[in-house]
Amino acid sequence: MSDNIERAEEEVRPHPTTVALSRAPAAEVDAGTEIVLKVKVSCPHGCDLRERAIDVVSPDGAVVGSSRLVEFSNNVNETTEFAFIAPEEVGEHSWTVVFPKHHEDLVHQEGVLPIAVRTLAHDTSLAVWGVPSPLVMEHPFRIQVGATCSSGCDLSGKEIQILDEAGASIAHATLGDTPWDGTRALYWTDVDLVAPAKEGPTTRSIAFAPAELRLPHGGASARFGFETVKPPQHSVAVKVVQKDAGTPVEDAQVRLGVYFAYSDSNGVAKVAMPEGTYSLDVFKTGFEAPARVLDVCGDVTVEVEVVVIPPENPDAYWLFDPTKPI
Amino acid sequence: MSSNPKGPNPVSRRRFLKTTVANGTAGIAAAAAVGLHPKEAEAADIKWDRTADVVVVGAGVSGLACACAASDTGASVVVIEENFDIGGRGIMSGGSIQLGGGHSLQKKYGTVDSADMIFADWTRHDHPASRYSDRDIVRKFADENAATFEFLLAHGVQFTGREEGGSGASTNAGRTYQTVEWHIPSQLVAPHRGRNGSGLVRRLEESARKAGVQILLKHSMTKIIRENPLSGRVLGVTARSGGKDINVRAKKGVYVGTGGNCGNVNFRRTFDPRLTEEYQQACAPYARQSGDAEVLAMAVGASLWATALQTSESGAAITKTAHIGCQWGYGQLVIETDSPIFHLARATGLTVANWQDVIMVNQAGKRFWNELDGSYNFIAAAMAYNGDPNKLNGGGPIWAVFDSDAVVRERWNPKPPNVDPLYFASGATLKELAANINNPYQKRPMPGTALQETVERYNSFVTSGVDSDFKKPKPMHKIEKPPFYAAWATPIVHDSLTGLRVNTDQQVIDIFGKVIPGLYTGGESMGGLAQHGLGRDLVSGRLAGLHAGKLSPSST
Repeated sequence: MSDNIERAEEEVRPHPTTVALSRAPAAEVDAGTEIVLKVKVSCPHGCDLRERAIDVVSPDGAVVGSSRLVEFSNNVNETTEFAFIAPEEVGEHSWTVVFPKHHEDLVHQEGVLPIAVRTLAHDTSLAVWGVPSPLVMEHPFRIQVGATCSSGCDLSGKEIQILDEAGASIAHATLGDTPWDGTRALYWTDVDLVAPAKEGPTTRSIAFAPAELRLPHGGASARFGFETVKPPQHSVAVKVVQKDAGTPVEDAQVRLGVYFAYSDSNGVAKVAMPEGTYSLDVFKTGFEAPARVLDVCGDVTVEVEVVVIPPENPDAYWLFDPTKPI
Repeated sequence: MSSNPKGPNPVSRRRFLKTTVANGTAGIAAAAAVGLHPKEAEAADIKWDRTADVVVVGAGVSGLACACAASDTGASVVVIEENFDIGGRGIMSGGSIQLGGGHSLQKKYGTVDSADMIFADWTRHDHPASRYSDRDIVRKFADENAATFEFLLAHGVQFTGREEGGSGASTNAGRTYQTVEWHIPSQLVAPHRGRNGSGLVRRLEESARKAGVQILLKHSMTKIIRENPLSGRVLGVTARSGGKDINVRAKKGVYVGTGGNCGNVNFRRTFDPRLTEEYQQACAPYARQSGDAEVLAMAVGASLWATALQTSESGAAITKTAHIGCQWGYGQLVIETDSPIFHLARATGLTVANWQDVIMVNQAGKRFWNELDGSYNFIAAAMAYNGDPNKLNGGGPIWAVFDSDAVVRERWNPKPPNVDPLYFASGATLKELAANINNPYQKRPMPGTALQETVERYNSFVTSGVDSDFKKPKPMHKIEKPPFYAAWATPIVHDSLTGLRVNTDQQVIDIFGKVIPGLYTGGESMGGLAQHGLGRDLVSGRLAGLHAGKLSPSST
């Protein structure tokens, strides 16, 4: 008898519901992009609430996102991951995740959970490549510059500025409409520049401040540098050969101070350069050659012998060899 | 590793009462009446699922040597191995065995060597690898080198020929001999990669099985059973398999050879507190290097020994990675897609031919050392405090950063299965690259601006030809052409160079300097001799097997 009374009371007593997050939204997202979350709802009586709706409600009462409870396990009901679109304005935003009361369900009460997300201006960033060095004073050269957005927005048609060391604009270019190979959204352009009239290291910077995009974007900057040199006076040919065998070594990097070139199929690397004394280094994986000093006072051809580094004993690292320096 | 609180209680309350309340004498008298040795009577109260004269824990190099040697004495042997197959780190090894002392192969090729020469090499005061040796251990090791080599021949181990690397493992005699790779590719962990250690462990396994040694795979030791927590004889071990614990009785001795402690973050930090969780270990994910032997032996009173050997910075306690973009990029070891453990390794990694092609940055996106260096100075810089106030120990992940030009130069294909997405990232710009690093050990996001500044500064060094930060000789290549890449390049922990204290019979010594009767260890679980690799494992395993089997080594 008393059991029946208790059951009857329970049937009319409302069931409070608790709304919680299985996956909380990111604290910060780019403005106008997706906010992803996963919601769970439970009732103290362990009721199966599958197929019931979940709404995300903005402060003005508008439903900006919704999903359904589709999983029921261990007395907890869950949605799948779902998303709604963040406001396009930068700043703090809040919503209420609501398990709404259903007109046919007189037992379960509404459950609510406040959430907050900060929206950010989209971050942009730059890459600069193909910068030659050294450059002869006052000679023209070309580089590539690309810009991308943290949310992959289309940046084609936007302008980048090249600035000198004092921050003055010395060139500008417009980003093309095809992303660079292998990237999602790196919009890029060639930029034509002229080397300065002074010798030595030079630094340039790039400024990007995208305007007239639908969503807010921050700017970006980057730097690049090169060596400016006097006009060449002499031709230096360095022939790289393998010691003992005498065979030419192709694709070795030959460095003469800030100058460098790669050897061709005949093992020859040619560098045009002014008079001076230079450190001559040759690099190629699997070979070694001692550095030497070269005085350049006319056209010159030199031969550099490189030695094959013997294949490493795979276990050499382990061998206790006290005769070698630690 | 730890004991199971719900598992069988191997030492019963009844026995405890009998041996304490009755002061032993009544129990012993009763046991004598039924023909049992008193110790056996005590063990009889435990539910033993299996019994053998010698129980070997770990079917790696030292464990298999122990099993064969014990079997040679006529002892029955059970081997417990936690993995799905035998071999431990030995099956991943290059198979170079450092054994000399004047054995038959040395004599065949006219190599002059002796036990005294080995002793002299491994007790040198002027080298940190030998300076801290326990000379009693070295003396026995030296004396047993040649006999251990002959033991291998007797058990069918094949060698490629004369010694390789005349100075290897010695000052004045060639002692490095290469085993022949096992001939059945499907029984290798890293086929066709010169992992000749497979020939060693498979031959020993073959010989052991022929002699009747039982090998229980997928059995993990969870406890060493001793009569009393810190006294009495070691009676056997508890092992877990398929969620069930079994007790294995060892009538003569238990040998614990679980391959060192490098994979046990808590334990390895005993020696070097910097070795936090981000440092992966060589031979994972095949061999765990769990430290089980050390930890469980210490739980019954064992002592560590010669701990200076681990941090003498002369061996290979920790190494620069060789294959980047995968979790385990150790040295010569590449887990190819045809490996039975590729699904665990997940990526082969990108092998770096020239460190000029990358820069190395830490978790904060900053360079820390000359990338061409691989010495302990490089390792120390990689492990230096990186500015994260929530992680004071360890240096955090190290990333090799490079561009698409480096990919061409190195002939890499930076996609799965060559790289593991958790240990590799790409981006259109350096800032995007930093944002895309999503790795469980990267505790704080890499600041994109910091990475961009690092690369811009490095590129200026390439232009000038001078690395004014870390003296990398002639920085050759700018990192400038998108896309950009970051590949896991965190140093790899390798050798356990010391471990449990043993006597010259490989019996484990306790914290009071006394022998723990019935407990043996060797290989990378033992302390006192920091020789890398297989020689130490084989000698120590063999010695333990002979002693536990109740034959003196000299009688073989």
